[in-house]
Amino acid sequence: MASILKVDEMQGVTSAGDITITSEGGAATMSLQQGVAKAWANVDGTGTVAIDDSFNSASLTDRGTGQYTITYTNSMNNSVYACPFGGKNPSVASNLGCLGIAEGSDQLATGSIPFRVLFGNGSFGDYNELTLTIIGDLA
Amino acid sequence: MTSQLNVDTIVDKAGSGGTNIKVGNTSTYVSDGGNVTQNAVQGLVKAWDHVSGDGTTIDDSFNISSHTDSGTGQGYHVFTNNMNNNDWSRMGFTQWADFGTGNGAYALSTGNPDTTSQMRLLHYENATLTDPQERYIMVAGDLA
Repeated sequence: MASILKVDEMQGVTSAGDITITSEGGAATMSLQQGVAKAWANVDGTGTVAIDDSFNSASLTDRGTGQYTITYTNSMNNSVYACPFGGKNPSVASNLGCLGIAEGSDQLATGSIPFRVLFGNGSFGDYNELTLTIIGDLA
Repeated sequence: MTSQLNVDTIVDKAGSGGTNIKVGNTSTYVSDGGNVTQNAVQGLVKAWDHVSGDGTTIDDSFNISSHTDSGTGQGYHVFTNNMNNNDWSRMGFTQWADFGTGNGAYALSTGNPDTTSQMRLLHYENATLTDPQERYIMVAGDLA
């Protein structure tokens, strides 16, 4: 008979925020909390911008053409976290762009992340679909 | 009444190291900093893969059943278990075949929208669809 363990919340014994899991290969252990994405979002970056679906993402701010900020519901513990981006360009034939954080102008913060879409012609542009995932230390 | 179980290790019934432990989709965990709790399942990566540049070989993956090469520089990464809707968070990365050509960039297609069952990834170099050296994706969002 399969056994089922039902609990509402998982905490580490030694440290509440540190549960150890065994690796797929069985040769290592690692922190469950460190391996979980702390936020993700799929947003529409054109017209009236909107969050289509998300986790731990409270709001999306349109800062101008191709420039956005997502504010978290629960903040990160520091401002040095990983933030891989994805996106869907408005035209396959043109306007290929890259998503990123502008050096100097944009700074990762514990409560939000600013990001931009820079097209190949050097101008900022809106993507009709933008996605990001946040991995790091939650507060 | 709230239940709390203090243990150091949970393993499956067979004692094989916990690889068969199931986590319910309303489970929460305490954050790294210890100040908040969040849903554990929402934070899990739902699929990832590492595919050869020519799109013919899945070198390693999770929740990926196949990769369909749909032409030079483009392909579909097909999920084993589908996503719950189309609004998932997708990350695509590619390794340039020739860094020296410059102006390389990856992009996701608009012509064939992603679905609950697959993700399309395209790779451009010098604004031309080109087979990369390697292809990688990572997916977060709601699993069906």
